[in-house]
Amino acid sequence: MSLNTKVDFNYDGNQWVIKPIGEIDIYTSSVFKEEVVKAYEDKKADLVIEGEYLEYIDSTGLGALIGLLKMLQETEFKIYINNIKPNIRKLFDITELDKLFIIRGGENA
Amino acid sequence: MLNDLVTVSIPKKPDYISTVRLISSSIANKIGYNIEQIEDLKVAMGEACILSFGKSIDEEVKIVYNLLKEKLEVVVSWTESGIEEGDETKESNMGKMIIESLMDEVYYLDNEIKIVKYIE
Repeated sequence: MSLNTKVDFNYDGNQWVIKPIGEIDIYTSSVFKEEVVKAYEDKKADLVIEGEYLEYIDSTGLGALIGLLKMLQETEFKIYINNIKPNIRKLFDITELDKLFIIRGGENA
Repeated sequence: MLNDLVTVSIPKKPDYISTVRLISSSIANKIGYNIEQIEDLKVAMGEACILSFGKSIDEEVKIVYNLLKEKLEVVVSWTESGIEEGDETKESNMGKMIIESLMDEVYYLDNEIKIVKYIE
């Protein structure tokens, strides 16, 4: 399995909804990041990552998310990570990224 | 299942790391790890391969699984190391944190990373 990312703008919430389906890993993380950066540059808004169909992430994928976080650092916009699976939440906890990101929904690892 | 050795060699290309994860899952399943332990080994092996790619200047990386009665030992090795780009990058630090948290023992040597996980 690889990665297919759906990126849509939600006009009601005025936010980008990013739905990664598959794996954000060393093979896919740079393309994932590029797609999100491109969307954000097209229209500056909050980024909502819907994690429901994210099956796997590795340190390069986490690095890509940190890159996005840095991109928004000096702005009014935020990144939200929604409904990630317990196996992925576990990696956020191990690396203490749970303290940097706003993680909503999903079970705690 | 005593002292069985499984040896795999992969090209140093990112798309082969998922192959290592699949093999790792299969071996973890074979030795009776539960679902969570299987996932842990898969994740740790993915990180070990990423670390090896960052250090090795070879074209390939070798992975040896040693299936023992009470534990699984895996050695990821390469023959020559180069200077790691960006030295200790944030990502490689996260990789190490992940491996160390999920596995029972981790050893970083010059040209190899050895991980150990006991069978409960």
